[in-house]
Amino acid sequence: MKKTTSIYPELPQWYRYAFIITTAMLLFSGLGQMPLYKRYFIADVPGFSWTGDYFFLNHLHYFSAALMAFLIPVGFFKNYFRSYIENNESRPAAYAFIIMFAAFFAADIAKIIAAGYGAGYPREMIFTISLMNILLTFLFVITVPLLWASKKILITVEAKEGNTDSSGKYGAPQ
Amino acid sequence: MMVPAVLKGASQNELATMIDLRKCIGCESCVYACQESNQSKYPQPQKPFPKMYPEKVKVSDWSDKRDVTERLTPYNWLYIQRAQVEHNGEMTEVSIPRRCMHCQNPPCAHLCPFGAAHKENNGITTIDPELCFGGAKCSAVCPWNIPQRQTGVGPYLSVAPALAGNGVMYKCDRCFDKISEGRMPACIEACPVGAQTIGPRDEIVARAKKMADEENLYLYGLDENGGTNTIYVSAVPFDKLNQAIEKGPGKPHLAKTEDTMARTDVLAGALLTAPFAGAVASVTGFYRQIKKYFGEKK
Repeated sequence: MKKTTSIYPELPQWYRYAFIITTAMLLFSGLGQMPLYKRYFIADVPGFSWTGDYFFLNHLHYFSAALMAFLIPVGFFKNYFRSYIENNESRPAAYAFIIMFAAFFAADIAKIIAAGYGAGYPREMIFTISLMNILLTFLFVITVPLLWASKKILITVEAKEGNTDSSGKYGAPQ
Repeated sequence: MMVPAVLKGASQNELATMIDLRKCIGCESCVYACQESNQSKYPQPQKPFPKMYPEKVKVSDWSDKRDVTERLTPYNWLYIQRAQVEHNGEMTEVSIPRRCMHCQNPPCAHLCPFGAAHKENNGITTIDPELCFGGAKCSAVCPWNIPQRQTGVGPYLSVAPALAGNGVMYKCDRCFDKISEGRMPACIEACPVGAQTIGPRDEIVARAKKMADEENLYLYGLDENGGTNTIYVSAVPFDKLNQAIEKGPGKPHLAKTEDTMARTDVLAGALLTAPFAGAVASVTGFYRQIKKYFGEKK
């Protein structure tokens, strides 16, 4: 049986909000790991003096990274994997999204381990990981809105008999 | 002077130094030995410096003040701090060699965005001038604000000198190159009174504690910032010394210092366990969903 659905993975509302907020926190605190906010007056804006506190930004970055580390497997297992098993749907954007985010996140964790706890690691390795971390962040910033926009792209998939799009948002069985 | 093999850079043991302030006579032999030994590592800035934006970004130029020895600068990684204190009814003058403490858990290395500041296996923290952009974050997060900046040198010049970076940060590297060759750091070698000793940290700490217990002395650096690899031994309490010394830019304090990385370590632990927690939570939820799904099918 064929049906029309979005290539975007079905995610509950709470997950989307949690994901957006955590991503914003990660990116903002991540950029703040470079001493930009003090130089470019962000820390001088009333109410934003905390952006000049490197320890606070570091704690915020780790905290949001921990939140994200929790959300990724939740998103993968609960929403994507289940959707695949139950509806036999294959969503390419979800694969791209998960692979890219896992790479971005692995680089982040590698950076934390190597820079903080990697006494004796080759310095070139730490620098390469740091650079990868920054490059993947930019890649992520560019790709996420594209994936978000891909919600509008509909594909026809083979679905198990009797199943309908569980969100009911992107089309009914044909 | 040669050091035992255990002190070489390849060693897995952290090295620590003990500075006995009762012995230090403040002659500055260590300061000049440091300068002479590290000449080749000092910055050679290109002038004029590139204009930096916004205009509030300040140039840090010590290239015309290379002979300054009364504070830390990019050209002076060790200086003698002096204190006149009254202790046990007597006025005493104490000379305190000051340089990087080489923390066990260094915030400069943890928080450097490019890994330019890095802790080696042997406990020495160094800053690579070929990677450092001179953002001075290491200095801001150092409890003693040890690293000092020189503008007009380093990789920022070939990236976007007007918009990002401001030179390179410099500090004591404990003569890591000499140590890797099995030689003593210049300051230790030059000291005429043997005020400073170096060795595996556990041995140095044991010796310092024993001295403190037996001779009623005070220690600094053992627990500061979670533990450092520089242990000062003094007959005068360090809070008295801290009140008596001149403090300010390039002139570090001697106050008690909390472990600045303690909270980060807790959060790093949370970060490493979070994916497993998320996986467990979702597999449990997934199992319930599957059970429900097949239950409905039946």
